[in-house]
Amino acid sequence: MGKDISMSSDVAIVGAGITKFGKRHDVTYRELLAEAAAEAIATVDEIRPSDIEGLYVSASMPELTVDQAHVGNLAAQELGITPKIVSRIEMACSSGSTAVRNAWAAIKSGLIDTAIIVGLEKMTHNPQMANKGLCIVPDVEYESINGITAYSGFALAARKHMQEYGTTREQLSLVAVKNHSNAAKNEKAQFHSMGEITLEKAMNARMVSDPLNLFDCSPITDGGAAVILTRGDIAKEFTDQPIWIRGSGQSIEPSLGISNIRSITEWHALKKAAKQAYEMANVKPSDIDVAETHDCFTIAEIIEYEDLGFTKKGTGGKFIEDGESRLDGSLPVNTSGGLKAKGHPIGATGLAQIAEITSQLRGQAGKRQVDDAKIGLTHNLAGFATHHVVHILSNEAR
Amino acid sequence: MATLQQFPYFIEKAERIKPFWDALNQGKFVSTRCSECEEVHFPPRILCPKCFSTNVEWTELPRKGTVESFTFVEIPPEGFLESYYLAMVRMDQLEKPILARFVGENPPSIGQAVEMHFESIDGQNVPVFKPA
Repeated sequence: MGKDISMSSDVAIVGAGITKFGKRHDVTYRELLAEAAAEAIATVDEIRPSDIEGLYVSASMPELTVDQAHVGNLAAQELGITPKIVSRIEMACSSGSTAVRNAWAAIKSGLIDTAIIVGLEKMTHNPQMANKGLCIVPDVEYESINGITAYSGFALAARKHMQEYGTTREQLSLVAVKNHSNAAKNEKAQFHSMGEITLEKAMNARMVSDPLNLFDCSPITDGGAAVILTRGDIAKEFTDQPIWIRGSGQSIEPSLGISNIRSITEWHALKKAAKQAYEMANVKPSDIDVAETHDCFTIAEIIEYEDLGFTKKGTGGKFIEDGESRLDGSLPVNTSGGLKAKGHPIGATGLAQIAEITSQLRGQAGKRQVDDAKIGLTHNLAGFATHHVVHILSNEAR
Repeated sequence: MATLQQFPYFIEKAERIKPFWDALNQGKFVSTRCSECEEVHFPPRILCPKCFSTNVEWTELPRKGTVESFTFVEIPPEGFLESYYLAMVRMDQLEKPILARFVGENPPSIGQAVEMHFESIDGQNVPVFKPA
């Protein structure tokens, strides 16, 4: 372990996978956890339980939905491993990418060589508790009691973005149409069997919190995902196709709710996290071939185009309207179907994004493969866009 | 309209924060200000996030502000019995947005001047905005 690891050596992803997302009443919570780990292990050429020295479990609300705490220990049991660093990570919707960043840092430090990160949520059998789990993410004492929820918070951002930059109702719906189209090509997506949706269907859906309607919102989902990381110089022992974590960035606003955010339409913490990741990777936004971004609501994806630097501030609506982020566009975004149509099992989401980009960079994305993808980006957020984690991955070593 | 039962544990016995909730019941909006650096906080604090002083005092805040954004919540969350307008209001002098329901004859609009009023829920006042 940890023999003179060079800080310039990138950490490698050697395995990543996701379970089928959707209503998974066929499995228990622990079976879903094991299924997620098995999906990632299946993408590694060879790995033994004794190889795994680090275990991170990304889970947002098992105490509410399945009455189980201490799920880090549950994961150690199901995997039969004795890691020397183990942690359960809870950062709401951004738990998965936060766990990856922690595992990445532990490997970089030389403390461990190899880690597995497993994320999951089981929500659909208990929608009342799942919704409570989402409603207590913002500031319960000072804002939730006044009636704000995730969807109404992003509705405030949508209305303001429309007023400031002229973003249109149709542009919001185009994000939903694109992501459902991608999910139709992803058998593991929650809405895979729904197939493509028309712009009319997306625009005329039932209003939830204006201007956001039902097709602007991601669903509640059961699902799991897992990622296996190792030290760059031993990656070839596990796989012929390592994917390199070239950049990692994280930034948070000192605001649990809205009261201490600088702006709800320009996400300064996202810009900071992205800048860290781009600089570490030594790439520019224009170098990105494919991205998975946090489309919990359609407006979020539009703001992310801007604050990740894919397009100028205020032109996110035009970016989707011009088809730039479609599978056949200049920078395909959310090829998996995104949170919107692949589904959003909170603890699994950040890991599922990394699994999709890993699959793209390995050339294994099937019907939704982006030609010649070499550099990919993942972006995962939480709260009213107060916490952001950005990773830049590549199939080429530095 | 709504019920505080959704979050049953808070305020009853927490003496330090009680002045905030008591002030709402008296029709006042108060929060903390740092006695060292004079930073005004919301929500109220015991540790000043600007200078780390614990020397904070209660101060009454202006109740007027401007609507920065709003939404009509068609599908209310648990604990809310009917749809409502939610407004994000940039408060005068506080320079921070506050979220509360908007109550008025007409829908709110961005840029509209509003004033904080109070509505009792289960004996506890909570803020609501009305046209100024």
